[in-house]
Amino acid sequence: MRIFFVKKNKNLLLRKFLTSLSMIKKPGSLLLIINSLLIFSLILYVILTGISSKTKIVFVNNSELFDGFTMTKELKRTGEKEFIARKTALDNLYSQIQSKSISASEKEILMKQFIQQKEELEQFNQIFATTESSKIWSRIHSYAEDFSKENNYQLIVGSENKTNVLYADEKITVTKELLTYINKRYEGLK
Amino acid sequence: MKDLNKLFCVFCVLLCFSCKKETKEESRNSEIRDRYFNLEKIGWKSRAYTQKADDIDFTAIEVPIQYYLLKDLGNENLIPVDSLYEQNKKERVIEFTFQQDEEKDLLTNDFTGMDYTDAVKYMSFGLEKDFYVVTSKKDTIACSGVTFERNYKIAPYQKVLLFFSGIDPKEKIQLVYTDFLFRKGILKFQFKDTYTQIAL
Repeated sequence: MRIFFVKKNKNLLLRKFLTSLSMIKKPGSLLLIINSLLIFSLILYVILTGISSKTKIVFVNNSELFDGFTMTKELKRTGEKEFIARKTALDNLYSQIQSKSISASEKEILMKQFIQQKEELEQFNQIFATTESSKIWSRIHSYAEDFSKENNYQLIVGSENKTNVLYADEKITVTKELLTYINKRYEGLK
Repeated sequence: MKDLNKLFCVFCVLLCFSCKKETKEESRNSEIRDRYFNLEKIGWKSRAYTQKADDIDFTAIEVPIQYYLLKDLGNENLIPVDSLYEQNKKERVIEFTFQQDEEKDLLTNDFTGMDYTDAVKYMSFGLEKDFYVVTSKKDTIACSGVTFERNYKIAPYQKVLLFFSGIDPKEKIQLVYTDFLFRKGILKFQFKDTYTQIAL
């Protein structure tokens, strides 16, 4: 019984195949099939090239990126340590100047020392902030380059609290993604 | 028939003695050879991690200490090599290289901001304090020594060997470098796997 059904199916398939062959054998219908196939592939090609050549622009919040970067946090911590140490020394000097047990000449020497140290502290504050910021930004730039290559972005627009960029859709905002990426790269995990 | 039986017995006794049992030493040697073969096939210097800061590439390569032992003692007798490894397995050696993109000499004043001789001195004696390792148990281990391999401008990079002690061989480590020489900030290198077995 099963053999009979298989044979019957085979016959049906054979008949269908033969009819389709006879259709193809007609030159008019064959040309029609080829033409429609070519038109379909051309449309597909145009659509695909259109998608791939589309410029990918994304937006990033600079201040969020800078503050969330692990390198910023670590350098900030070391800077604060250094600042506190220098400030404590300066406070000690000031309390020495204020005490009544020292002579006027000693007070003058200490005052000069105090002014010098205060200037040094202010200089340290300014230099530390600028040099460390430039280090951090240069690192962010190098990691962002790899990030855009990996995700096929052609332009990453960075702006602080949308001052330069008036509007950026949430769909093209990749601050969190970039922040995770740069933190992973910084930790040596990628 | 009796003679035949005797002959058969003698043959059996001889057969028993002829099958020599493999000694413990031989089996240990083959086990060590197998282990070292695996290490060699992975590539002694395959665990390389690079961080780029501006135009300088900083590369850290964790080299198994067996590499240095085999280089020194050869691979004919592996038992002393392995016993030396067992004694020093808590040591870690990391090759650290500095290379500029355009293969310029990194020890010049343009990169270090100091005299060439001072830069060489810093690489030889001062670099040690700039490195430390954080283990997977969050232990911080200071660098116990640095060897600067001077190449007298022949190679386009500067290479140092870093030594760390007291780290379990199975522990994953993260190398942290605070760059005071080229002033590029903190660079971290996470070494992922400690040992990968090759399926034969």
